[in-house]
Amino acid sequence: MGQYRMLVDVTKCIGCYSCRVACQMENDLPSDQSYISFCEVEKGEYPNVEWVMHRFSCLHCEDAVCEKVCPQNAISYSQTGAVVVDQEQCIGCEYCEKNCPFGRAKVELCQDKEGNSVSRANKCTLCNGKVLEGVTPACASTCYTKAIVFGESDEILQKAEQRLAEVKDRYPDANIYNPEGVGGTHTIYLLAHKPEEYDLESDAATPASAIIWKDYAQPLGKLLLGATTMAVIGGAISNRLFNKGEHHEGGE
Amino acid sequence: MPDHMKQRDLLLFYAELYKPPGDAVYEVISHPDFRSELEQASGAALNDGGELPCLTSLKEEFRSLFSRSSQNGISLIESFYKPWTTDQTAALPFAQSKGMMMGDPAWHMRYLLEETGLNSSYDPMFYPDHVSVILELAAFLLEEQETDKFTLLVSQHLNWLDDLVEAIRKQNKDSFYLKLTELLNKFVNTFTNHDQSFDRIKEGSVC
Amino acid sequence: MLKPVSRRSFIKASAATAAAVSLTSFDMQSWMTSASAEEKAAISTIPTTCNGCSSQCGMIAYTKNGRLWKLEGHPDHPRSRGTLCARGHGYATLVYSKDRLEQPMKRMENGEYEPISWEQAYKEIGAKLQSIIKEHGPESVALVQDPRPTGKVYATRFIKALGSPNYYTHHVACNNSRDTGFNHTIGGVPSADIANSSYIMFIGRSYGDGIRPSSMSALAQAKENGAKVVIVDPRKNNTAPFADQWLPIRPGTDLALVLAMSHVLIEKDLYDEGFIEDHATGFEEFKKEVEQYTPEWAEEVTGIDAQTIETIATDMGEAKPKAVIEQSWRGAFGCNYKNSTETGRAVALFNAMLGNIQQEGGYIFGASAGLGDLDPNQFPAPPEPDAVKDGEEDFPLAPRGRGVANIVPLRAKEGKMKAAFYHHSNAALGYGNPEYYKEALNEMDLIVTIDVQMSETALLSHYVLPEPSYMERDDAVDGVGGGTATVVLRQKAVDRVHPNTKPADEIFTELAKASGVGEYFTFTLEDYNKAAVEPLGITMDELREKGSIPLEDKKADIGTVPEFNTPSGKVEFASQTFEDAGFNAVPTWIPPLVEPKNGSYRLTTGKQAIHSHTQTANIPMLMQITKDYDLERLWMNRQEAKKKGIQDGDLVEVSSESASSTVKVKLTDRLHPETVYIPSHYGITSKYLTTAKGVGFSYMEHVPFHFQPMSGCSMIHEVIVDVRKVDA
Repeated sequence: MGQYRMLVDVTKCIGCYSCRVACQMENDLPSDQSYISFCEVEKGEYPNVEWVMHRFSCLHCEDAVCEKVCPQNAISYSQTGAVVVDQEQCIGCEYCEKNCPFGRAKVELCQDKEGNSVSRANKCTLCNGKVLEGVTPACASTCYTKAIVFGESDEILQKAEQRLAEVKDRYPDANIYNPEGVGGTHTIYLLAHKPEEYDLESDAATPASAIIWKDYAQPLGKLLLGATTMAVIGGAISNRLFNKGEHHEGGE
Repeated sequence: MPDHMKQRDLLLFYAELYKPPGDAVYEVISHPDFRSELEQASGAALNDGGELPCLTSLKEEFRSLFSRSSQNGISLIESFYKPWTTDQTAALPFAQSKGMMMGDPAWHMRYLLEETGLNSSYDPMFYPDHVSVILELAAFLLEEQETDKFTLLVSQHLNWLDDLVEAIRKQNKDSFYLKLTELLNKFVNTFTNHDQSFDRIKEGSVC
Repeated sequence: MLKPVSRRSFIKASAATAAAVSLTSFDMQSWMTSASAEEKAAISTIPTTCNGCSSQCGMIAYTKNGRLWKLEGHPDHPRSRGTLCARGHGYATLVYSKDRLEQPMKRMENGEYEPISWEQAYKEIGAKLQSIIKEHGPESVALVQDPRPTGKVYATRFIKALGSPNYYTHHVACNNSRDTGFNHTIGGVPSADIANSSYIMFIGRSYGDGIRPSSMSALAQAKENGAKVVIVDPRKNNTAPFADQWLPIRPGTDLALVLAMSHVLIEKDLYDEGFIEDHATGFEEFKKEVEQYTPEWAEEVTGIDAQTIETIATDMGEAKPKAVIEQSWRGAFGCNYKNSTETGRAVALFNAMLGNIQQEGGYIFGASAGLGDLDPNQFPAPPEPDAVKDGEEDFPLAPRGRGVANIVPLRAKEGKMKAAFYHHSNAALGYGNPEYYKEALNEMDLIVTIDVQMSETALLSHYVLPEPSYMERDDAVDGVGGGTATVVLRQKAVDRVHPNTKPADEIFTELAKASGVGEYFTFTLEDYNKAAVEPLGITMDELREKGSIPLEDKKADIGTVPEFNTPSGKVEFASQTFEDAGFNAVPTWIPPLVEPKNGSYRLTTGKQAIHSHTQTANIPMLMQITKDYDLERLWMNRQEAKKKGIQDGDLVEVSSESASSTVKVKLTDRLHPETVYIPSHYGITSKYLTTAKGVGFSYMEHVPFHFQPMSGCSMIHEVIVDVRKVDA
């Protein structure tokens, strides 16, 4: 494929937040916006307790729901494998946010070119611009424990398998989170516990309705009605068909 | 004295006013003709009269209003009132927030001071976009009769005086500085409110 | 008439002309567009060093159009090795902080501050200082700092020039207890060669919380190599993912654990006899002392079962010399308990018994950079003061150079210390009880603080002198010791934002002149820097270009045991110096000063990876993480909380003899039931620090003002508190 993947090995995360700050600097984010969120999991009772910090950001699905539901075609696949938002096309309709099976796409207040505050989809880009120039994403390059590693797609998958074998003794429930239902992802996780412990669905998938929307209704609809009208109609369809309600995000 | 020189003196007076007060500025203020000359040069009337503060209370008023050492110190620096930068490539998390020093206006002012050759005499204690620096540059442009440049300067670098007036009003509505700043704002507005002439300047002078 | 006679008009239009600038350039938008067209050319990279903590990692600063853009770890610096922690990335935004000090200030009668000129500040401080020295002698003056490269050169010279021996550092609330223990046993503090070790024990020290990037990567490397890692800590700290075993020890009993482990090594004959024979003295006395410290005894004291102690000691004995108890910083015995100096001695001696000194995977005394100094013929150095540093007689074992900084407020209350300079130091919140500090410093005739923000210490000062931040100034050349010594330079990455700030080299030079001792400050920072690199065979130009240069000819000699920097030149299992100071010659069990009982708890503290002391608390990017994840909370053992009807997130009152604080609680199974834990970065009270003020509380408010008997440290964990739920 010639594409890239990122592995987040939660068994190596010490919760230092360096990735968050490096990402904010790289991507020009205000202090209170972050592409990365964290949740910690404590299992067991004192003193037999295991603690795992989970660092979470957009998974960059191979078959991304957000890309399918976007009425503006503002979301696309980069040749690196990243799923990226074109903020100039985005109208802040929140379909991506409402339909992301992982609760990762977020619509937040951003600044447009004129410095106005506007609602725009805002999420991890897998540092697409940097990667295209051959540079590692900011989070991976600052991670001194190598809990975040970035590289050629297949090598990363192999690395994940190897790490899984290494940690199985300590974390019997360990697994690689790379859900088939969305065609696999470009950020994969080595989880220490079952996905549900981190508020993730084991069988996260692209809803059939999203496929229909993208592949049939939307192109036709756009042609007939124009994008803005479609955004309104699309909102109704999208919300009725596959809105699963608020996907709550793991806090600490 | 020709009008533009009167206006130059007006701006120099204001430049001095926004520095910690000393005898020089007080001498001007306490002159019996102060009010009339001020109103004449600025082409606007001062809001009500009232008593002039003495030098000591003027100093205290300045400190309590503008000193960063007093808790709510009002900034006299342009950058503080504007988005830090409109440069889309500036990748700091607060790039577009207000309230920071050395924003775009400061860099522009620094550039102007350097290019005009005024930087050598510019006191390093001051920020390049401190109101006094802007006023002195404006005064210099008047003196040189560079009207177009003067208009651009005051319309772009003094268009935050509304905010300054409000900030002073919020802290002390009876302040001597409030009245004078309101007057300065009126004066500046006579140059900035004429959009047409502003556009004409820009169009006519693309080089 | 309107034209005033200006005292300092900026514009004295002699050679100036407005015609030199095009009208387009006067239009800001056009100017911005043309400036941003040159954007690519305007990206600069400047190698410099971080100031987010004492590690001062090397980093590369990227600027765009003269503005800070982002930072990366310097690949050649031994502490960053190409990566930076959250502080490294975020602290640099200090440059543009709204809460910086911008001009010199003087405290007025009413307690408020008024801006003054530098000339006035120097003149008044110099005059006051001279009159204090005349009346009370130079020993009534002190200087305190958290040392940074320029400060190390200028501040030490300044206080000496005044004729005062009273130079102190922040180590009183950091690692002076450990150092006192290490200095008097193995003659200094080496670094553990973690990456090559096969059995590593950490006592209180957490690489995952008190981050140094290269240390954390070394540990990750060791784990990849299959090392066994044990953490000894009442809290399962953030190094836990890299640890195989957690020993949830009763706080304050680490000494008992190490003594019992020593007992096991001796009993099982697992210590390095050859090393002891060749390089140690007093081993027989030590052996006799530890006979009583059986694992069973230690189980009673520490709560760690005897079998575990025996197994670990045995495994370490078998893994030697690639086994090590990491040397730690503040951790559990840097300044924490009454017995911390003895813990320091015991840890150093345990490593000596493993024979790991100067061995791969053990303790390595690093090479030093060997910087040059100013030529004394050209620039005469001030003479050594006649008097002895205040505190040295009270604490003769404490590290001499650093002294005991808390002597300053003590002597102030006694009326003996009259003037103090605090440089890059928030002593009043960080070194000892803040109430005590406030009372004591208010007794003094002259306090001068040199800093970048209005700290609690600055607020107790008569004069506050502002420095540019570390991103806006050049500092003195510095050397970093280690496996390969490195010479480093902090240099200006962006222009000074506040034009009226001055770097420490200028401030101390001018203060010296105003105080009548200017003859010792006739050199410039550049003169010093040239002299510093001169013996290294590199030029300042090279150093400016590279920022960090490893000195390939200055490497630690691994495999050769050095002569130890002790009176005997050997490892001292028994110390005459200790005996002369009125303590036991060999390390002996000492119980902690206070013990929790009847449902009370020991208040313990530690670092978080996103903050450094209290200096980063006001950085919005870093404080926002605290706010997003409620990191300022008090940790409490879940079962203990249940007994008291406290639930996760409840507001609780923490009260001690010294203070009472209210904070939210975090319930966890990661904490020993005898202790509650509070991160050490919060409780800012300065109204000038608008982001940090009011978040969390400072553990120091609860620490009584007291001195650890051997090292003079603050004994920050000798505090008992009650915790109760506060009704909303």
